[in-house]
Amino acid sequence: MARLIKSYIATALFLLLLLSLWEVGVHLFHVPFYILPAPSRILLVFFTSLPLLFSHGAVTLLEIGLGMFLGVSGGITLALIIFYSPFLESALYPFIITSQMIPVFAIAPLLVIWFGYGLWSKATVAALIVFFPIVVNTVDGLRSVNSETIDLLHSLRAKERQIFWYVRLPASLPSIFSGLKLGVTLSVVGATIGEWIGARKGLGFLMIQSNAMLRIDLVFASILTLSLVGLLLFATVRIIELRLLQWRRPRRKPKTSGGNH
Amino acid sequence: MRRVILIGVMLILTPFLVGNSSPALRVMLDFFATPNHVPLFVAAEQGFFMDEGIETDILIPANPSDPLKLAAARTVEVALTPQINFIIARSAGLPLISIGTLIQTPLGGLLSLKEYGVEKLADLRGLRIGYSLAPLEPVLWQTMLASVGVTSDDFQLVNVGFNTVLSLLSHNVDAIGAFRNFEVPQVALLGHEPVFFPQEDYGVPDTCEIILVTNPQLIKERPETLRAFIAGLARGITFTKQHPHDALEIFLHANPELDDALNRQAYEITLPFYADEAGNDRAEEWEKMQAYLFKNGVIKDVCPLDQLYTDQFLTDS
Repeated sequence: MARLIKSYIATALFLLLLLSLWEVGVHLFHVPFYILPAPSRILLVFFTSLPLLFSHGAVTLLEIGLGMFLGVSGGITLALIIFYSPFLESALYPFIITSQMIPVFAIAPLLVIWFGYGLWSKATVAALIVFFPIVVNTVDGLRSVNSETIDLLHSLRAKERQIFWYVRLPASLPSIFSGLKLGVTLSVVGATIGEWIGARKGLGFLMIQSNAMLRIDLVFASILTLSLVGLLLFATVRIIELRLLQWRRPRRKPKTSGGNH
Repeated sequence: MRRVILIGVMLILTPFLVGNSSPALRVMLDFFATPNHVPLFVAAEQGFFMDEGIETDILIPANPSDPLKLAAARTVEVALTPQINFIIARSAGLPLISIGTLIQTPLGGLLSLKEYGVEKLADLRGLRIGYSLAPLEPVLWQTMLASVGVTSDDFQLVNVGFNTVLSLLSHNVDAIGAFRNFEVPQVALLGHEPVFFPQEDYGVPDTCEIILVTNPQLIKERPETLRAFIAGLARGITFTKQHPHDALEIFLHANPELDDALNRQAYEITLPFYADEAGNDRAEEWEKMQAYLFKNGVIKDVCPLDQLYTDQFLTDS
């Protein structure tokens, strides 16, 4: 615990140093506010625009939530199909990987046309980005089970269903959570891209509109809000992970130092 | 973490991006090169700027708000921009002033299709209108519809991003904000029958679609360069009006990727709208447009007219 707090202090100190450099740099070089606003100005706008940021943030959060639901449920389903059917694996896997070569930016305008300008198009963009790390990590997790364990269970005449629920799923949970942590971070990007293409509300929408109105401080305040939303979501996944994986012996938990992501 | 690094890099780069001046006059377009810019390219290609003793460098922005920001920061000397966007930037506190006009009329308005049962503007009652940028466009379209007795409760505004034509053709919306010299011929070429309502016919004050702006400091430091630029552009406009065919060929030679049916048609439509002379002296229009934007809450304060534009570079014609 003490180590955890220490690592947070390090993060905070580094952040403070960067912000001071930024603040001093802006004043020293007379950087105009419409090129790069000072952190003090951004924070001021952030606090005075809280209700506005909150109302747009709520919409983005809803899109992220729906996108996560679609991406995670789709991703896990695909992973199971791939894991249990070698034929479908060779049929699907190349396409799943190729789908990540297509820039989401290129297809987002089409998704908006197909799914309309409401919630669904943004959720779809987010889901498309989210599902990939989920699929890859879940497949890896399912495969991570020691083959001797499976052989033993087979010799005990365990049914595949039982093996799945009692061995494979619990064993793949850590890996699934790795995918979830990646996915939840990416879902913020996905929802924002969806909003850039066409929206009526949301932080991505607010960024585009503020930029056009040359309110660059508000653009940065939106970015700050988005980062906070991302951190919050990440922390949520991390807390669920810790709760759910409590049964794993704590000293074998891969403990990297701190949460400065 | 990545954000922090990004900000650090931006911080290091910013002093290099801001405020150095090179001998060539850097002119940033309002958008990609389009037939709106024919006289500018004609002046550059025909050596009209050279005759006036200046060199020009025509730049294309990466983002529609870049020209105003970069002109204010003096990373470019002159920016092209719609008059309305300039008034908004001025009210946001960017140090800018207008020194001339390239297109002296509005080109915007609402575009629908005959197949959607729209013949007159009031037919949009109860339908969906797509826009790209708030709060400006909603204000314009509300003004237009109010002029034919349709209140804002009687139609729906949808943000369709920058993919306006696609959203119209896929019938995700029934009308879009559009330019008479671009989207109108575009949908016609795709086999649809456009129905276009010019904004100035329905209560929106007159405006210039493209003006030239600079940092006021530059007027003090390099007035002769600016005068030479405006004079060269005026010759470009005159040449374009006298030799429309040659002007188009010069433009397409400089921008070969634009040589298609749409751009040729767009040019025909744009031809009558190039400014009579490159200077501007239309006090009443500036006053009305600024008052209109203020009244509708697009801008928060008004600016004295002599801080908005200057006619000191107006050529005698």
